Amino acid sequence: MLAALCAWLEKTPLSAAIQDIGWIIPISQTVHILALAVVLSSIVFVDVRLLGLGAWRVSAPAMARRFLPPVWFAVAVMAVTGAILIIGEPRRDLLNPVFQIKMLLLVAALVVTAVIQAGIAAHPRAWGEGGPAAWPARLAAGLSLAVWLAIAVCGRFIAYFMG
Amino acid sequence: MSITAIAKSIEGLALARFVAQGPWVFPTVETIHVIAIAMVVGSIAVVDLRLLGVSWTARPVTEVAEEVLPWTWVSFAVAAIAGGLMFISAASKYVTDLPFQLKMLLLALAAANMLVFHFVTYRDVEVWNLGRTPRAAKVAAGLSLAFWIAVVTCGRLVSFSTQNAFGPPSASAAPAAAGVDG
Repeated sequence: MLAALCAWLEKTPLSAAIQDIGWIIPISQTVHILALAVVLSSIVFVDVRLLGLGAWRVSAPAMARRFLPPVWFAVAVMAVTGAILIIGEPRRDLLNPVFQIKMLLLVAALVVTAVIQAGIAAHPRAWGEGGPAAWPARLAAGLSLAVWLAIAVCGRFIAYFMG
Repeated sequence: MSITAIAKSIEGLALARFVAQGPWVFPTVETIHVIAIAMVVGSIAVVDLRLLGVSWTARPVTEVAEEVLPWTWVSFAVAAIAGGLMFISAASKYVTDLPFQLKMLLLALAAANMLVFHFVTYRDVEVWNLGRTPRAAKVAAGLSLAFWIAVVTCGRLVSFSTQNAFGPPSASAAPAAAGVDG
């Protein structure tokens, strides 16, 4: 089914345009990496604050209010640039086991990030307002760090595992 | 001794051959480089956006800088070490590569911009720590963002122009060889 989707995508005029206009793929990759910079640094700062690492003078909820909204914006940018790369070279991604793992990890990461954001909004004390974060909050932070880093690793390794 | 000859002798180092050989060392080093540079750019942007009056404007500039910049420096050290390992693995290809040369120039410009900001503009930070940042600080922040975005852009282009300089040495050693845009 995925192979059929790839075959169809490859024949679309949009895919041909992405392939033919030489700068589209490198520019999309560059914007994808710049958006990754926003996502990764924002996520790391919120998570290390929840874990009690770093010399921060603001609480974890305050960090989350500063850093999590940009994450959703940057993820949207990555979805658009990622879609351009997929449409341009569907087989490189859709049939690639590393890409497939990356997408599963992405779903997990988005869920964990949404849980952190909602948890902070609903129970700021348990999430580090006026003291250290409770263990479930720290667990979520550790999970978030691991999953987002794994996504970045998969992103780079897609180039080394052609489907 | 010419630059190319020096580069060739660097490629002969045991460490350089270790990075170049085997299917997974280079991609692993490259992944570490990308994650570290993402942390460098993302964290520097936090300080730049504060200076530009875009975000975290209620907080003193000095506090934001003190909290964020240690992460930038550690990340930069990691990115530089990983980048150095990638460089020595194919030094002769990199030294003649235009995007690579541009990237090094942009890094030097980013450093110069940072030094001027730190030793000139930042000296009277206590005056504007919470108020409006002076024009010089905003210019430095804008230049910083521009230089780092350009560094990332050149970095991405390096792997296009030096294609097949690295990656799995043979298709049989790995599931697939590095692509043309590896």
